[in-house]
Amino acid sequence: MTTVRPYRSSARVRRGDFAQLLHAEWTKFRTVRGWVTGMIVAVLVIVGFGLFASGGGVKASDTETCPPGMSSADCRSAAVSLAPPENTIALYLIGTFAGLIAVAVVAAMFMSAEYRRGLIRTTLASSPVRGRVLTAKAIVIGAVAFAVGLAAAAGALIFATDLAHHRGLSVLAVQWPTELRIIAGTAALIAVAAVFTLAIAAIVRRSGVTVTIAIVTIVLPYFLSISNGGATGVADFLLRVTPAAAFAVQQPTPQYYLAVTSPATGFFPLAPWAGFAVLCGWTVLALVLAAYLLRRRDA
Amino acid sequence: MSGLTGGNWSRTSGSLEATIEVDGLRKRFGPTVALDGMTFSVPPAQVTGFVGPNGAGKSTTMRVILGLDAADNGTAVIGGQPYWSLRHPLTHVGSLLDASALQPSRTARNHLLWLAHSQGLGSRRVAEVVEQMGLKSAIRRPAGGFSLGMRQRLGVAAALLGDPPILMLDEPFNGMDPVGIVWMRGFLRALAAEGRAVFVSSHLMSELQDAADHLVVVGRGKVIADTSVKDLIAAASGDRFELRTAERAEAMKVLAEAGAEVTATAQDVVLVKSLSAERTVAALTAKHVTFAEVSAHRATLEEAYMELTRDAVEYRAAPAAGGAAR
Repeated sequence: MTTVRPYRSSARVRRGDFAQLLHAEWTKFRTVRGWVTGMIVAVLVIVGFGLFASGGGVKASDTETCPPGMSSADCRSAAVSLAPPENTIALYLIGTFAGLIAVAVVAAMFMSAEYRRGLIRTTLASSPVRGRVLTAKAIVIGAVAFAVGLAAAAGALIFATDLAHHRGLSVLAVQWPTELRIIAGTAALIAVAAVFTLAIAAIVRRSGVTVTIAIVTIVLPYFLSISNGGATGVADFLLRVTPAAAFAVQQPTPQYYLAVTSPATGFFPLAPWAGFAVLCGWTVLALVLAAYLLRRRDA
Repeated sequence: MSGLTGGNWSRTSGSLEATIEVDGLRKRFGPTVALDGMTFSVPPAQVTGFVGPNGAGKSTTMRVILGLDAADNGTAVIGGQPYWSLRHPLTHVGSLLDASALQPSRTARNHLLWLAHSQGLGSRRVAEVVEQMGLKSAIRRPAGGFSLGMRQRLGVAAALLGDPPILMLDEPFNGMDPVGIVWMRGFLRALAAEGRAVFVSSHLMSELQDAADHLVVVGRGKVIADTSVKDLIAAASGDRFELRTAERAEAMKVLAEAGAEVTATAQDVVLVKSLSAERTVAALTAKHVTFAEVSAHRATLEEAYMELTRDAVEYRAAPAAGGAAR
């Protein structure tokens, strides 16, 4: 046997493993056009719904506004006499559920695409500590989804309010901290929902099943309560225990202002951050299970 | 990962000896035994062929080495360290398991780019391996549109990103055209000549002819032979020789009576075993059977391999009519 000096890699690597992992996952995300498009679509859908709701949803003559000075009893009687419920700025974010579906599809694919063709083996061979891969993926998809939610919510509120003013419509005014909370809350809702979906995808490893689970647990309970015209009975229960509870971050007013209490007008059974905490709880559970399975299963 | 995470190894970034050592790997998938005490090592500065029929456990072994599959028993280490403990693992081991493991809509360049980023490498290194593998013209196309041969090149490019001292390639010749296969053989030899350990699996021995120095032949989850190519061929050639004669049928009858194992290998060629050349000549002369030539038989790598894996083939077609009879 010939004696040859053992080969030494000439690769000059930089330090900081986790930052590199984030960089790799971010590169993965931004280099699939469909995923980037999906996120842009999510923004457009939310803003689009908002514009539609502010312009086409309610006619000026049908709407009475409830000025901040008005007593709750007066306001209620006024509201009851009118067919459409009060306009609150929550109405401008009515498209959140649709944008959320688009984000969930992308989040599901971001993980399930790894399994579809065995790319997960390349990923895990390049970063063998599996929990870190899941963490990096969650941070990337969460950050992207947060940006999407921020742009969408801010865009929807700004443009829809503008459009409403142009048409001579007005809405229940909210304090600026509330408006800020609604915008940040919507972004956080979309971000955490994306991470939740990613974790589900790591568990079931199929995009179709993942998206179905995400829609059934996050969007459907919310949607049921809207279409029933009020969060009562089953819908009320679901909005307390399912990840859909997080839609409460969009609640603009104390509930007693409103005659018809529905998520469409901004009523939720839980307080904003309590509802958000429910989604966070589910997400932590899903992530823990995903990490456990990812470490345990053969790739 | 229980089989591989048990020790108290620490994450390492230092240079390691360029070896793969596999010791007593066992693994079952349900009722199927995939690995049944797989043991071998891959030394530096050589091309080590990893051959065996389909289902012999080659890919499973490679996945265990990379920490992707957990073995029920046994260890697999890279320069003494388990794979998971390597920092920037692609600078230690470059691997290609499945050339089709790609996001189809991502361009080849971007595929290499995210991998490079995961090791703290930049786009300059991507450009280098692209150049090296002759992929420059295709690099901005979605990898999903690549032929299998092109994907193999892309996969090898990915394996080379970290300029690793160990390369592990699963069936890299699959889907390559003849020119590509010849090129790949030369390329693997060149990598080994630089001092790297090159570990290449194939289910076709002919692909490794002229490429491998050393062979690990496996069947049914364990090593059947761990030998240099030279020794393997010598062993398979054995005490056999070829007899060229126009009277083939007559010669075979006479030699069989004399106690030889005879096999017709061509129109006028008989392969003779278990009888010395002298006694063969004597027997033929006694019966007045004419012959043109008696020559030592040199087995091809393919023959040696067939001999070894005869009992280890899991899925085998019925022997074709007119095939060599023993």
